[in-house]
Amino acid sequence: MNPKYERQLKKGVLEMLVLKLLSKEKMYGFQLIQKLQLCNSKYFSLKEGTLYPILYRLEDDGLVKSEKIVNKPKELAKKYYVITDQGVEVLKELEILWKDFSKEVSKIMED
Amino acid sequence: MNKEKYLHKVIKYLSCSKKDKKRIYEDLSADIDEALENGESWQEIEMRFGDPKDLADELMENLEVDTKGRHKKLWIGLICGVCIVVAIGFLAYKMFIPTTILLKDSTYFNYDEVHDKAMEVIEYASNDDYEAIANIGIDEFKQDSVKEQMKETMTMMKHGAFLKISSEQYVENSTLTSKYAAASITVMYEDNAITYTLAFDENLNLSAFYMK
Repeated sequence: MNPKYERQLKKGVLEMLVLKLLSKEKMYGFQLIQKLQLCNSKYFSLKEGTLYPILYRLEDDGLVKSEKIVNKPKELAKKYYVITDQGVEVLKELEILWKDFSKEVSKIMED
Repeated sequence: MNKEKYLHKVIKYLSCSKKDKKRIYEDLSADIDEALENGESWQEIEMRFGDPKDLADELMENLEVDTKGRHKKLWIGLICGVCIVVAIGFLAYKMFIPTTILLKDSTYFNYDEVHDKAMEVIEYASNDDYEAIANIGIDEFKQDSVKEQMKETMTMMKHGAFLKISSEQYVENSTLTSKYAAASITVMYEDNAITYTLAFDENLNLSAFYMK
């Protein structure tokens, strides 16, 4: 598999996947990377160099925000990423788009 | 390499906004701390993260930083810098290194006026009249020390009666800030030949007087 084309194909859905994961719970960067690995997806083994630019784009667009949260006493605050209301709305739109889009793509590929 | 050195190297290779550099540093640092807490060794983490430059390149590619545009800006900056240096060098050259043209080609000085003035100086010099020379010179010529110097030189160079002018050349020298007319005149005297080098400022005041 040509890594350049594989990367291009995956690129478009990563924002949607990150929003989806954050819609379930707030997470910090390391957690997001581990979560995607735990999904047992060989296609979404995200590295820091890919994940953080996505998070920053979502943050700059107001779809997520970062918060420093202390989980346990005497522990240092961790930087969590939290989906915003706007992010929830955009995720809904992306899910609808994805359903239609993936159906159409599959139809063309099967021809 | 330890964590701080690694992160500083990554940041050094990044060409993005200060805001992005700050949050990248924070997030990578937090990830490394988390991985260490989870039992990974620094060596394992460093191997997983990869070469600092490669990580920086990957971050910039995904931040969609226009590296080609950045290189173009660098080249433009470099070319502008070189042009500025060349322009300054050219200006300095024009200011400090005089350009020389034949006086007859000068658009500032009148050849006949300069020639007449030079002949006046030669007449005074031939008569050892250093006072008269000082009177047509710039203020520095009127200083006693300068007049004394001229007197000494004229006394040393005993020449006898004036015979003829054997050669004369006239040029205009100009810098960005000033112009002067220069003359080199060789006079044959009874006892020897003296070459006079004269310079006149823009107001035709004598500004230099040499004898050899």
